[in-house]
Amino acid sequence: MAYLDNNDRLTAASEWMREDFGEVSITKSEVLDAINSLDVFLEDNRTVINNAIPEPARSNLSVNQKILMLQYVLARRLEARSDG
Amino acid sequence: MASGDSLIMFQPWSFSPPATNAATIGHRNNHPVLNFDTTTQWTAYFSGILPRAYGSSGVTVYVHWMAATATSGTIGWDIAFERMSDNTTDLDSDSFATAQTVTAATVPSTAGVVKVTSVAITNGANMDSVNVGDSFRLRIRRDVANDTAAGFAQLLAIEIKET
Repeated sequence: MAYLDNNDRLTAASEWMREDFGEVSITKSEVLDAINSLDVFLEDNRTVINNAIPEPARSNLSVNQKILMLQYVLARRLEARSDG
Repeated sequence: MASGDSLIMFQPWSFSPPATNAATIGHRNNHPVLNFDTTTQWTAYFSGILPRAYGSSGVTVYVHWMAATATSGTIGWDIAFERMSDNTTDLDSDSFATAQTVTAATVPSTAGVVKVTSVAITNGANMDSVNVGDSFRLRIRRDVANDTAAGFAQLLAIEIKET
């Protein structure tokens, strides 16, 4: 099930397409499809992701704090790939 | 001026931005470009004076562009003229003629390769009746509703040629 509404997904797709990480061989509608699927995946697997966080962080951090933590991990992974 | 001769050319840095949703200045390997978003329709204006040598047979507008990152899909544009005629046009509001579509074309298979597409615009209403010696604005927008390529379209140059 999706969490973001259509406008938020479109915004995410638009912002992603304004980045320049090299050539993109898919169309803008296919980018939006990918964004939609990732949103659905994250929503469907939110419990799995939450359970991956060990205690006491899992129980003591707010949902927003844990989302921000995930965002930082993903950002560092991107930087590491770019550096490597 | 004979049919087929160039009348005027515009470079990215000579553009005027609208108050909202303006194309943005960028560079590609030191080439100045104007970036046009793929989702929100961004706009750029160029101002000029139609040369005295114009023979009133209509114009063809050539758009030189690149895909910023896309290697598939299409990019299209629309062009509109606004005459700013002597003792007539009130510039406090826009008065562009109906936009003319530069049909969306498949992007080159390598991002950064230049593509040139064009639209022929007949003399008269479609040119907002711009005539010899008139100042005018040319508006260019990406045809985001009909093209399919992801990422920015990068405008490199515009040529107006007598048809």
